[in-house]
Amino acid sequence: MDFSNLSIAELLAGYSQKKFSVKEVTAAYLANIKKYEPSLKAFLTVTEEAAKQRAVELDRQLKNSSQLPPLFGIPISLKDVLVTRGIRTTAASRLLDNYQPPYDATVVKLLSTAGAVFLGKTNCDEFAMGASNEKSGFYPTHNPWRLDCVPGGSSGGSAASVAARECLVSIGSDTGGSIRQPASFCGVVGLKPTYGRVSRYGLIAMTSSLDQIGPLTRSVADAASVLQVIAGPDKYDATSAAHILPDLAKEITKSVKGLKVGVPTEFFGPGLDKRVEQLVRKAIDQLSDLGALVQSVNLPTVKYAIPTYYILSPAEISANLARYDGLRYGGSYLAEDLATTYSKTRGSLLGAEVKRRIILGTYVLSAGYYDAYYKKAVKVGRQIKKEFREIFKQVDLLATPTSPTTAFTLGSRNQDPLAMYLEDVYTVPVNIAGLPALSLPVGQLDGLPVGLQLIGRPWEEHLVLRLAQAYEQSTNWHTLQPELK
Amino acid sequence: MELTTSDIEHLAKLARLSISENEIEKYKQDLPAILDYLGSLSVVTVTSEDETTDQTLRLRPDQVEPFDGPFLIDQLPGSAERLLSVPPVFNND
Repeated sequence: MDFSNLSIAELLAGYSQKKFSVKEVTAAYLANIKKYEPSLKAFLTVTEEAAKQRAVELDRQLKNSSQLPPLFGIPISLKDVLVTRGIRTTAASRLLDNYQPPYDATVVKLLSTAGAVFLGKTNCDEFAMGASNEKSGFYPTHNPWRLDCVPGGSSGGSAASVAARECLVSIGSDTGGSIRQPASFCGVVGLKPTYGRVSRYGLIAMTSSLDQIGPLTRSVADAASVLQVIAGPDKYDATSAAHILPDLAKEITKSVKGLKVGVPTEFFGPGLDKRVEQLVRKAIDQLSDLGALVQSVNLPTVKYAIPTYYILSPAEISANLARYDGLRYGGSYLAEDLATTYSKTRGSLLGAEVKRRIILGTYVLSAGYYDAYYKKAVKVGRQIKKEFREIFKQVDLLATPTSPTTAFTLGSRNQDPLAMYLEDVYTVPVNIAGLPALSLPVGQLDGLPVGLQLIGRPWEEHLVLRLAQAYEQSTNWHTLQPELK
Repeated sequence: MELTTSDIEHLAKLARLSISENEIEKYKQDLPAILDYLGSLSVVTVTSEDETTDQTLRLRPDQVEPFDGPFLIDQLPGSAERLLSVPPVFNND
């Protein structure tokens, strides 16, 4: 039996009917990891022994229980920016190579209580800064659909591991598109929840005003099951909110007839690959066939989202990464005095992109430039947020491309930082406005997946998931598998 | 927008980041284009000073919670007799 084609619901049903054991399913996924990792490099750490032990423990529980927790025996990988007690957590940075966190992130605790089996920690761009996984401090991950292409980023290892059946679910983080863009490049579902929906306690911080944790899965229903578990307020994250999340399993099966879907003109301008546009427009027609009421809308300020983001984000990065002083944990370059220790540690162990953003952030926050850059970006960010708020008085959801192109070849954009920043042009506005959004596969070009992005009102993940589910049920893009050897 | 070597050295000093001469040259090439692009915001007219935020902060009581001390001490890059050891702040040169 090929366990790797079963959904969360199918695995749970199989476990409770004693058709197969957690041990068998875990072993099948670990075998896939062994087989594909040499060519993919999606993982930084594989926790094989811990996963096997956990499976044995869960099988023991299975004997005496009738009601299974919602993610019982589900094989999950974690982006290596989520701290795991006693398990190497690097944020894909040389500076944290061998860091052993003393605690578990809140999401890790919640998933564990729900019965998850963790298979390991996935590769990403260093400190989640990048859109291709090429900025990992260790090695780049390859796209399972075409090994000469990038998987996207920064949660590229997560997306690749899900697409390649190395795990059923991966947990990523999204600051400017880092869940959705790699999901689009690897042909999987990626959900960035509303800012505040999921606790970030234990997420290695990049841009605290934008960072959000979410699932990457092979189906919309699986993304819903995971969000149901990880959502909720947490006393350790002051921004996590207590908004009620409805029963998503029920919500996603409801009708989409009459849902109003806006298509913002600004997301279809120059820079969008014509063939990607065709597939995205075809998918939007399909939403219309399913009963959604599609209309064209305008968001004039979103064209300034990227410059806004690349001021706000580096500013926060320069502050958040000040904690890496080489004294308390991680790699260190102990020098003759304290100031030199700081600068040598950071200078020798942080990668080029991280340093570039720290320098940029220092610049936009420095005296004389603060008003022109940082303060202005805060104001433009508010205006973008306001435009979304106004548009959501007219429509329930927005549909756009996730990325202007399909996955590009490794090395092809690595030299031009500005070109890489523009990769997130359709995903960044969503983070600035704090909205929930999802990418799902809607076709392929030259063997590479194309994603559609659905954006919702704050706290309305259920509508995003409902429309995505209706689309998914009417097509078979999510069933395609990369051919890996 | 132009950045001189001393501008970049000043930023690196503020950021406590040692950078090589190669890196300085690279930043002199890369950063002006990025900063010009970021400067495009100057043309945006912000129509309202909308200060509203739907973000409410959850605060918790400021209580001490036990943490795994020995585990933390094991992580210290430099330690002496279970104490954090750091290089001197001032050098007596």
